[in-house]
Amino acid sequence: MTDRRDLTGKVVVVTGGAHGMGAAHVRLLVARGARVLFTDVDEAAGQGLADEVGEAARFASGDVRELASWEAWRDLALAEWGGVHALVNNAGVFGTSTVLGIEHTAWRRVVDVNLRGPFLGTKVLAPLMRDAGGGAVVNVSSAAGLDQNPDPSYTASKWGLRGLTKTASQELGPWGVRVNSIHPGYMLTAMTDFAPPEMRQAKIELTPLRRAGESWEAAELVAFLVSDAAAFITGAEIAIDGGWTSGVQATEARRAPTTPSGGETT
Amino acid sequence: MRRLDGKVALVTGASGGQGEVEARLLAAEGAAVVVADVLVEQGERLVAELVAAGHRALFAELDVSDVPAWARVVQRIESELGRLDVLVNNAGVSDRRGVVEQPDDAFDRVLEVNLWGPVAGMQACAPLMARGGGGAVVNVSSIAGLTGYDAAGYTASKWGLRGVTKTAALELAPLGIRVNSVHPGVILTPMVSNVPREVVDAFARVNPNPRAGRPEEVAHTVVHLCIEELSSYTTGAEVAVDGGFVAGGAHRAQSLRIAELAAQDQRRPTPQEGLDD
Repeated sequence: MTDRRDLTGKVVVVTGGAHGMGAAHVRLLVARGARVLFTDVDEAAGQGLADEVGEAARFASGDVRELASWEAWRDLALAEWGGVHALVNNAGVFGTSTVLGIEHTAWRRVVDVNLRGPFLGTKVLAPLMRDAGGGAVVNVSSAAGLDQNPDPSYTASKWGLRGLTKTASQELGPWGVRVNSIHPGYMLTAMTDFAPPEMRQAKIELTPLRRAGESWEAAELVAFLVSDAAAFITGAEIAIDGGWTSGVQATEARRAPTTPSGGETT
Repeated sequence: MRRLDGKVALVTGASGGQGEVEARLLAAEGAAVVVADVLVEQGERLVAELVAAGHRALFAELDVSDVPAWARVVQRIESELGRLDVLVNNAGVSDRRGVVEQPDDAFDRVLEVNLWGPVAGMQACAPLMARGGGGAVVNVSSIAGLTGYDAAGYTASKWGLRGVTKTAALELAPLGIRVNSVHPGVILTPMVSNVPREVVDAFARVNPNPRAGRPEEVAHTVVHLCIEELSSYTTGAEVAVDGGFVAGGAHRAQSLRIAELAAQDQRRPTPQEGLDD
């Protein structure tokens, strides 16, 4: 029986592929048979991963915010492998500001990487997927795209990406191009390394599955959505957050706090 | 009964269309209204009319993506009106092209006005609102913030605004400021008046309530969310004012398509008739 999860013959572009979840996507997609062009702003780490993975993976430097980068990646994929079947918009940056405190330059950096980048990538690569007879875009949003994060730029970009996914699914469906968003919660990656120990512990204690997610778990979801096994899934939003966005507040409300103030500090 | 007596409300994009109707209703509830817009003449005309009718109103020229302009407007409100209780982030622009056809600079412009604009507005207004004891922010999103829509940047901006409304609701709650989003469907306003009537009718056709909305219908929802006694426990919420488009439009579209296909079938010769030819 055909394994519909097999990716042999597919060319996949992964952004932000040098570290964390992105590197896990690159490794798993290659292991499933795909050829992967991956990008990152960290050239040394990108080249290192490419050398490790072998000839099925190619690293290209550049910036997802720049249209010229996307056109160069498109041309490279065409020259090397003759087309593109899938795009994983994984590159993302975090913000640590507030509504009252954020400055325009900080706002633009986060919105441009997390939202403008996927817009440009879809715009540039979808026609190649049409020419290939169909394809898939996976937009890596966040649990913050389903509820919220204290940083307005991060929340706005991840909600915006969830919405862009819907519009793209309507527009590109007739070409056989599927577009979905995934919403990781607390994952063990470099992006969450900054979190203080108390925050990590609180996240883990509140998450119904009582642990953080690992990169391979997100990679399995990405590889599934890219594959023909997900052939009828488009415009969907899939949380991969251990249950975080399904009502942890109600669960917490039933628990008596261990300190009289409930730990409230503000 | 006037439920906003003594209050001050700022509405962006208020020189015409949806914003103008919101400004008029807020004034009718007793609020002093700041009409903010890039359209100067039209806005000054509206203010003159409101003042002539006995309301307190002033016009402020404002591009909502311009941070220093926001600071000037808020400073002027504080010196001339003394307080601020309500911010309606109504201003918006659109580019109706999809993901593949929309140029990157058009995408950027839509996000600057529709998404950064409201954030810049909340940032500029919240401190003055807090000094007066709090208040309400209404972010005017769209059905394009609840479902897929043909315009790429517009959809991204309106979903983003829906999300950032929740971040602001959490952050500003300790200041006594409620933040909600309103999601109008197809409404007959100047923003859609440059769209052919057929397009408006085509959208309305798919509504469970098969007509375009009136600006007043949106404005009443906005005003409801601005009045403390009506909505004091509502924050971070999203309210559709769309005739059922998001909730029931897909099923309605299916019913219409079935009727269309059935009508075609009646016009088409049956296979039996075809054989007779």
